[in-house]
Amino acid sequence: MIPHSLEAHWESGRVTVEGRDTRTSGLSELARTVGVLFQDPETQLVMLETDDEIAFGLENLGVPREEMHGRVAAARAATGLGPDTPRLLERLSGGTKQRVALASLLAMAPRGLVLDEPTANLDPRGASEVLAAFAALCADRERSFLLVEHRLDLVLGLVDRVAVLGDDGRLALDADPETAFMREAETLERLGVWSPELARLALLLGSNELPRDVAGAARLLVERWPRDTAIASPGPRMGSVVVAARDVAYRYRQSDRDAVSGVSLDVRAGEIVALVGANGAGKSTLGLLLAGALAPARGAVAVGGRPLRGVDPARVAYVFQYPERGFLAATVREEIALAARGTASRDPDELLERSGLARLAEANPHSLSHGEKRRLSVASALVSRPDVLILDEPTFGQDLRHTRELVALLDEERSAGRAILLITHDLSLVADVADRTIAMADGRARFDGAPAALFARPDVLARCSLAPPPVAEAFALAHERDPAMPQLVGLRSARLVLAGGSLPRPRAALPPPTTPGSRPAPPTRARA
Amino acid sequence: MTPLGRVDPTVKLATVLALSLALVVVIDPVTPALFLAVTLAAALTLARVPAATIERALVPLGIVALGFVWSNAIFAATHEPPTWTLGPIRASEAGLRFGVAIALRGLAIGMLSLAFVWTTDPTDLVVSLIAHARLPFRIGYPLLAGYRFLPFFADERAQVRLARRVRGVAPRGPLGGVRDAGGELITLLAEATRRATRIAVAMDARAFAAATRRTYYREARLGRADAVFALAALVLVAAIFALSASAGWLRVWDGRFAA
Repeated sequence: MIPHSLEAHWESGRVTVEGRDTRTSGLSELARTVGVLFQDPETQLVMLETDDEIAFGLENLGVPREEMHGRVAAARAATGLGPDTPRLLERLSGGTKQRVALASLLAMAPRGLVLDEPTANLDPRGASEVLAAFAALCADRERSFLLVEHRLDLVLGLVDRVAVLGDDGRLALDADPETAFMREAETLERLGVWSPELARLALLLGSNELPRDVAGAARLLVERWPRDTAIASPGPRMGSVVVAARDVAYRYRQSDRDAVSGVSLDVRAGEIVALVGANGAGKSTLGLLLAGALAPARGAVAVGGRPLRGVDPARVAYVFQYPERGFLAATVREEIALAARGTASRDPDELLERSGLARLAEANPHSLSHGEKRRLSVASALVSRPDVLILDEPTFGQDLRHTRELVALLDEERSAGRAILLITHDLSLVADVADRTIAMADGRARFDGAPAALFARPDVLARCSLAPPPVAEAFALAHERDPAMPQLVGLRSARLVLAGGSLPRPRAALPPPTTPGSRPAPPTRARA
Repeated sequence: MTPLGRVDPTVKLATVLALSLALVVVIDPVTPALFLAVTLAAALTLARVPAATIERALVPLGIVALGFVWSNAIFAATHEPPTWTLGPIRASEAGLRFGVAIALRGLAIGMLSLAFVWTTDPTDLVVSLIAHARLPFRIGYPLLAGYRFLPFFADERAQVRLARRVRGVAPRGPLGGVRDAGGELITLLAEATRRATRIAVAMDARAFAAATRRTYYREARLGRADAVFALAALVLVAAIFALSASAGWLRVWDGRFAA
């Protein structure tokens, strides 16, 4: 794409595709050889209908029409797009759209494919659809793949080699998975690069062997987990109910069913509740109802015992998945200052500094990278010391370092007595930080309980299109083989138990929710 | 596919344009009424458009048409004395007649255009225009990609409004709404630009406009049915004009803005 489609300064070096220099070859020659699957299905489809989309590349290459029909059919078959796939692209789910994009590349019969975080924008069901199609393509070893990915566990069994780019844009590592994820784990850690959860679990157990799947990890657990570790049970929660929703329902205009249908829930001070479920299950709508952005058609929401309508909006902060939609100011500093209303607010400069945005203070918020936008959005949410903090997909597109920072921040805000609601597909995050999980499907809450309890309910998981995180699955499998094994759900709890600590849950009495003018909340939690 | 749905979109578009042009010069009420009746009949039978769809479309068209009647009845420059007066409002019969004619003409053209939209697949239209109307494909395909943006804009705007409401933005003061729309627009444009760039790169990655020869998955072949359709439409127009003229209803605009 560089330099043909994207303008950039070509500093030095040479890229060849099948021996031809990419700078001097035409795009049509290159596209015939290497296809690129981009991250967002919404911004790579061109046509209105599925078959037209798959044929688009063939048309561009000048393939005769008689030949196209066979190639379209073959590409559909290779990506599992059966005859019941809707004709119109707008009717397809994200995962199916991504498979159509993949089919459109396959139709061009490339020798290689570049996949740029192909599942990052999808819910778990869509991600597994796309990964299944990808795995099927890998099976015949007829093509080369370059997969750009943060979430590595599900593709671990398919990868031959791992290349790691450092912050400076240099190749930091190029090795087989075993070497990269096990022997070079410290390098990855230093670079803030994700490694597979299962690899980190194996390292925690002192193993040098990389488990390629959950069964392998379970075997390691049974072999190596010390059976004498005491697991302290978390203490009772002390906070009072901050958010109370009773039987809330909401229906969008031009829709024939409720997006949220009769949901009741409580979130207490100092509690992190995770809201999980497939796309369209009603998670974000429920979040918006709790934030007061939508008024429920039925039912009621109260914050701090008062009806939401009478609550100062600054008491409830909402961080959007796409934070740019809520940007109001022309500079980063103003953006935070706008949110800093009232006497209890924090020093905007201190928050800028903490979020790593100080040097961008005068930049336009729209010009930031996605990660920076999100950190700005979190900073503006925290500046007014809200009682309630709602975050929509907070780990979306974040690297390991920023995800760790987010986890630390969530801990801190929980200790400060905020009621926190996470809307997320990231069940590893849920396993690590959530006190409670609410699983939604079809606008209803189908489950309300601890993450571990959710992961032990295959019926609920299937209904809500969820899959437990790999570490939880490994522990479950190990427990099946040896009932003496504990049923932990996340790396964090495993690490804490092995270190002789207790589960990551605040056990001390929590301070009451902060109110304007009350004391500032000291971050007291020890870091894990 | 219905008979009208099978007609080549370029032929259909040219026919609709020709009919609309013919209607533009007509200023009597009966001729456009005949056009409207024939268009409705064709939409119902030859395109099997559900009556409910037509009824829904007639509501906004009807409101616009009533506006034409009303404004012409009051404001049309006539030399006749006003027929009705209501305080300062003076309406003339000639003005009213002219207004009804303009309204029916608007309805007839509106219904023709809608019948075209209802019976034409957007992809077929673009492919046909490229094949038969010399539309450069470098314009036609980005247009299709842009067409997919329309629902996105509505959705994105709703999301932006929600996000701004959560941030505590409520329109304040007489110009608050306008200021607010400005802020929304900046956000929408920033997002639209980003999307457009990504789609353009994705199109390049699939060799759009890179090879010397481009082929088409959809066929846009002109057939006998297209000729029959165009001819039938012209004969029908001629018949309506002939009928209207022989009955003495037909009046054609002579270049003056008076009835």
